[in-house]
Amino acid sequence: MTTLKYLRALVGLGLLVGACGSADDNRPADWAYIAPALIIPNCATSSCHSEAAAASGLDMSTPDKAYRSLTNLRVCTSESACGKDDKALSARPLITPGNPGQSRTVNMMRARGAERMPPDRPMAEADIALFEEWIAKGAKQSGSSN
Amino acid sequence: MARIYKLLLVASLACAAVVVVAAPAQAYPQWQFSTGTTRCNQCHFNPAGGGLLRGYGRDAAGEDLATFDGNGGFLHGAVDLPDWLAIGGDFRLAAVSHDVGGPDSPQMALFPMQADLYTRVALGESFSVSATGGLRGQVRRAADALPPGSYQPVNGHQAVSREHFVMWQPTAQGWYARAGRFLAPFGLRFAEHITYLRRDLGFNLLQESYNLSGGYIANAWELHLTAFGPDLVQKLGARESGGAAYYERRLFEETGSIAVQAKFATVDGNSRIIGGAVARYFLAPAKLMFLGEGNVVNQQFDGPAAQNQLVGAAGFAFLPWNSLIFTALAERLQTSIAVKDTATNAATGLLNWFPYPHVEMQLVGRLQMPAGQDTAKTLLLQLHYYL
Repeated sequence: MTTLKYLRALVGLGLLVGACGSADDNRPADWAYIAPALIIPNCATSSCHSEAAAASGLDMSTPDKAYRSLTNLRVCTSESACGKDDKALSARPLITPGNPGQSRTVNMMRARGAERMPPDRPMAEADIALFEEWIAKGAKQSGSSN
Repeated sequence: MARIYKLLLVASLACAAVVVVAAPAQAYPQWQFSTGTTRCNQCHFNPAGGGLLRGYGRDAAGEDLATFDGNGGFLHGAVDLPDWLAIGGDFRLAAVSHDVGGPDSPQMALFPMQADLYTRVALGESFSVSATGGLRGQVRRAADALPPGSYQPVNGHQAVSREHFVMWQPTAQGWYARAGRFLAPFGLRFAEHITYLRRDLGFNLLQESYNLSGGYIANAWELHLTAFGPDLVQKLGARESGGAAYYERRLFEETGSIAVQAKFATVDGNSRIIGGAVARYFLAPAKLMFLGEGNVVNQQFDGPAAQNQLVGAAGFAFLPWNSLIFTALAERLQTSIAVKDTATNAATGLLNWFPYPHVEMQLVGRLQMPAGQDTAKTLLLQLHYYL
């Protein structure tokens, strides 16, 4: 009987906590939140975009490196001249400030014509929407958008 | 342009295979209480379980935990090691189908999942040195061509050491202390690092930290205290510093337990305080183990206001025989408790069968349901052999 009471209390507590939360999202669309709460936990796993692996040349292990990886890396437009001629490089369009729809990272999070990121599980819609809001507001590294 | 996307695709497929399925050696919490054992370190050298087996654990593996009897000893008993030396290993081969949505799903792969060797050398009655060496799956070498300015991996070695530590433990029950690299004792400690309890609380694959840890172990209770810091040697996983505490009290004539736990971790000016509870109970007549863990994670950011996160799991394990375990687990990760649509629920079924000592077959089916997004479906079959 005592055991059943413990179990009932545990299940009840779980349901209570699970049902918590509001439909409104008042979280800041701010890199100081998005990096540690969304990007680093989802992207910087040891085998992917950690400093040890830096898959695809992207390191998301710190807020600064993640910001640079998303906004400030370049891509080769000519394989033969890559690394030899700066003209063979253009901005890598992982983030297009002001335009979430043209941002490849968003398309990957939504698996919209691109492979899903993160590859083990989709992010929750509200988290992706917050990331899009940050991009729509200019994808700035500093300063609060709220 | 095409080249970078090709690289991205190859890297993401490799990442997917590794993050979805790779599994380091860990304990089976389903066996505690259900097989007559009370403490993790009855079967394992590690105070909190996992890794190399003691003689008792090897005997149990040979006689009680396999469908067909055999010898659970090193190399099936073909070689007698001296008392001061213990050697073991884990080798896994896996086949996976993973559907996460998008043009490349479902992905299917057959691949070696784990190759680890363990050794423990006893130094007198109280001290020991343990080390695990093995291969990791996803490695990109700095020499791989990428545009200038791209990040290069700081560790291009495929050979890594998940654990290496020195331990003082005069007796199996009593005080102990250890220093080195390992996962701090915390939570249910499932073998499957894909559970949110491991992935999202700092115990993911290769996230072992460098620790100074100690505690007390008895049949009735155990306490583990750990101070941890980042992996500055191999730079593989953990970057956080902090401390963790885990206290477990056995109940109901040692057929169940309740534990409380806390962890503080900080990095880059952000910190999190985790508070949680763990409960287990083995209902012997029904051969059912109920287990659950709930954690609230208070995250403090360098700027924005704090938030609370929820990471929990609850379920049961059915053990019709000791060699067959069916585990059903419901999990929940909620990025912010204040925002309902940040939740991801998961339902996982695990079937572990140990037909013969040293051999395990496992089937995993998993559905992950993030709010407002596609459901990710994973089916995994693995063959596991341990030395």
